[in-house]
Amino acid sequence: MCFVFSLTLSCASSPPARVSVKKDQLSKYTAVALNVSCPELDVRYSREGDVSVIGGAILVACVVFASGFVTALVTESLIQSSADSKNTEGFNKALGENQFERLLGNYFLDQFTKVNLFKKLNYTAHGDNHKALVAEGFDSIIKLKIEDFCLKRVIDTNLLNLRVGAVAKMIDLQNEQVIWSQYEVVISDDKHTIDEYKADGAKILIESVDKSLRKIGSRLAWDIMYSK
Amino acid sequence: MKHKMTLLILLLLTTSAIQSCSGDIKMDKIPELQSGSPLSGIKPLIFAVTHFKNAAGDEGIIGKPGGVWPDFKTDRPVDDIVRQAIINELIRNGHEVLSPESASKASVIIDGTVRQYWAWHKMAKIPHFHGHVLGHVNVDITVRFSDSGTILTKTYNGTSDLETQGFTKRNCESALNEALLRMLKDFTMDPDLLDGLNKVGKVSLQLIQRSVPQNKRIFLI
Repeated sequence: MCFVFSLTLSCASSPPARVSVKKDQLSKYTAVALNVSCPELDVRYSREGDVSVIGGAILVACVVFASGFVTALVTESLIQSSADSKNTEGFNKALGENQFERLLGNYFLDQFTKVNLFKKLNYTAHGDNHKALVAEGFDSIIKLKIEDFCLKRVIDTNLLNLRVGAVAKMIDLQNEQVIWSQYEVVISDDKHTIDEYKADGAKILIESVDKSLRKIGSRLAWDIMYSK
Repeated sequence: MKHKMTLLILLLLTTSAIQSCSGDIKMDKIPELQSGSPLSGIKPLIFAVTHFKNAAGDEGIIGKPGGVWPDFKTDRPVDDIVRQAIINELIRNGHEVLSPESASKASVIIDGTVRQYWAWHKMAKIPHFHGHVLGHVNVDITVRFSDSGTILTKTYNGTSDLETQGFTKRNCESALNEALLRMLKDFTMDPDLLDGLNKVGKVSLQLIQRSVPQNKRIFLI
């Protein structure tokens, strides 16, 4: 029965729905605002790993002596979350002044400099105030939002790889309709330990983020530029 | 009567569950990219994609679910799947693809070796309530630009990581297809490849111009 139950529960996560845009649809937009946002880096090492030695000991002790299975689970989860939080804080301190949202925005804009798809494509700070954007003369906005930004443990190893996923949306400011939407994710081929990522002011990590953002920015731009 | 019905339902459920985690993964339809590609911005070229080599071995697809779950295999050789995915992407973007036998007539020849093509399941461990189905595709690709004489050799990867609670055929298929599409994107959107193709496009055009009388050239440009 467990076998059947496990199967009925099984599901595969799917990326956000894609909305494609046709080239002739794009021709009516001339002034496009660009807004980019990026969360802090998240480290998922302990949470993705096996039961730690301390946690495992607590787990056994609780099961044997007090049948406190639930208590053990909670304790173990707390230990793991706390370890990840510490690493997350450390990395974000090291990354400090790096403006990854600006980097992604620039890689995205770079592709548009080669073609004259829009008359105007400029950054805007107030991405949520659509009325203000219309008043400034924009007819649409492209929002690039990095939703997944983490160092994730590679299963069964002590290595982590970088995962960056961004959702892009183009919205018509007159009718608030999403006319284009795309999700792009890059999982780095390079795998390193936490200490390797930390070394030299997180040099490897910064390079890896740069490489991923370049891919994401270009691919998102190409999706609009080469729409049919 | 009631017991018989319950038994029948249980039997049906178990049969469908077993079917969902055994047998071949059907690959009669190769997954295709949906996104706009810079390949379509390059002047249409003539490609030949040779038969790829399979270095992933017989165990191209491995199920490692702790000995409980059966393994899966695709119903088509993995080298053929990767080759066909590349051909489909070239055609989708307006290029022509010749058979390997006609490779001498092509401007660009693509050759490859599939090194890895697998899905792997990591069971959930206490206190985690989800498992992972990982997919990985790793291919060495060589591109020969016949006009310019240059060669590009690179390894392209695609990785997927789906959080699931079971290693069903469907999950395995999703993980493999996602990894395949990521590898395909990595290859077809590689700036080095695009640079090379752009150069071939320009060289091809110059060769055509040279072989056509001066007064006719305007019709070709």
